[in-house]
Amino acid sequence: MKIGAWPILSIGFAVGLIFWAFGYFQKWVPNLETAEKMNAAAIAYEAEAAKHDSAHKKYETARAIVLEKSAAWQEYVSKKTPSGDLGSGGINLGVSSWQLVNDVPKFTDSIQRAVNSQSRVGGVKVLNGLEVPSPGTDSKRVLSDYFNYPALPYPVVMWNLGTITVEGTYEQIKANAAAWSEMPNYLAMSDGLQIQGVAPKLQGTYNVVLVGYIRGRTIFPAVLEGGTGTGANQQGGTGGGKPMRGN
Amino acid sequence: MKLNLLPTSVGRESKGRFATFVAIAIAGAGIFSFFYQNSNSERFIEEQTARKDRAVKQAEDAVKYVAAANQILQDNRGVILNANLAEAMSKHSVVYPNLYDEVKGYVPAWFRVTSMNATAGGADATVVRIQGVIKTQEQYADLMLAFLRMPNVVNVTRNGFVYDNPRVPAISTADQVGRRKKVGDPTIPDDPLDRLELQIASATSTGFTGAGNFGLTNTTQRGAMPGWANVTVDILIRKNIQSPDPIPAVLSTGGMWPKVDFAAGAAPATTGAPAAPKTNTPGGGN
Repeated sequence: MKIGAWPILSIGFAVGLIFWAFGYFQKWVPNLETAEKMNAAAIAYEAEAAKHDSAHKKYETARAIVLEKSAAWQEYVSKKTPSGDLGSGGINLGVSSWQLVNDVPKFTDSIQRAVNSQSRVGGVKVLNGLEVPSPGTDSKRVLSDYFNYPALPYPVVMWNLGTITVEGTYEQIKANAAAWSEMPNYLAMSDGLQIQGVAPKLQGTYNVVLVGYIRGRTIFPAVLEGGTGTGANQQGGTGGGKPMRGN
Repeated sequence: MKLNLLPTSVGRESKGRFATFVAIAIAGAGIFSFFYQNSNSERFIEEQTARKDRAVKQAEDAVKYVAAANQILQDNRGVILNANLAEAMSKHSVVYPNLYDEVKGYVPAWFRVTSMNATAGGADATVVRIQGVIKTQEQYADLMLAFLRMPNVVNVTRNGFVYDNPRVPAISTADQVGRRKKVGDPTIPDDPLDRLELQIASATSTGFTGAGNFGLTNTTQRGAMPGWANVTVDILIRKNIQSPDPIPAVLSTGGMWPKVDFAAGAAPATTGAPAAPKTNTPGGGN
């Protein structure tokens, strides 16, 4: 049986169409859709990836800031914190609260001496001095009340010492107020300087804030003592009351 | 006229061969298109996937870097805050003395200053209040110009000067000329004897009055001399003298320092001096 030209062409066309259609509908269209989705995802990720350099820079900046601040802080720690030795005007918190309550008044005296000495800088006459608050005598509260520990994660003494009035020349008063930033062993700040009077005996009045970060690696745990201990000074947990194993 | 002497089957066979050839070609083209579409579309996917994968890695790194940067800052907030606070406190004590030095340079020589203070009015405003003594109305005017010479001055306000210069009054029965006198003072009469009586009556004190605390041996602040005036000048300057607030700042670091490590029965660890900063590197490197 002979097949005509048109049927042959039709068969060829049909076969070709089948393959084309299969390729188009089964491969081309879905694959292009997938590729388009990948493209969209790539664009979105590339937008984020474009921030890679700035993110890395931010990371490096954060590291640099922390290292810089840490170095600066170590500088302050070495110059602006009291020593860990009671004899040299500092305080050692690695002793029991029973001992600490005896040591803190001596430490307070040392601070008061430092404040008094600082108050006279510049050659002024102090008309109204600053008084460091007295510590309590409750061994259970001395750490929390005086050193703000463990309310803060490190012990620190800080007071607004109030207003001081000094008498002197303009230059003396100016030097006196500015010198608080140079106070050894403590971070101190004068604020709100007012000057009045008739030269050469002027009067300068300003406010002083004192912060003393306590240096040290150990704090003795809360002691076992009856009475009304607060939650704050029970921070020692299971270690409370036991003698230190080392300092 | 030409005659076709070939049999009719000859023409059909050649058409059939041609049709077969064309049919095979069409079918081949279809098959080719199938493979073309298949391979190319898969190549597209591979390309875009590879592109996305590259971007994903970089994007993930970027996210890790940002997260690590935030974590570093968070972990070391205590150190950063305390260092910033210490720096701010150290710098602040000289702020007021320096401000007064700056203002002092613009105080005119004839303005006797008795008090000077400053108040922070925000991040960009400071009011310096100067109280002092001047003599004349002209000085009161010049005072404003003197302080407006200062850089960053926004405005200057003044008060306190009492205008009591002699004025020419209206004619009255006793004074037919209109003799100059201070407002509130009695009329200066025409009659010389009456004027003499007026002069005598105006003498109210004969002893030491200590006006403005002058003449005293103590160090009490001197005020205005007779005929002078106490004035107050407020200078608004575009400057920041706000002070750090150490105690709330330190209190806000609660929990941000490396934690005290309480071992059972042992003394806690680090206090006071901060530990070295934690610096974790994304990707495991350091």
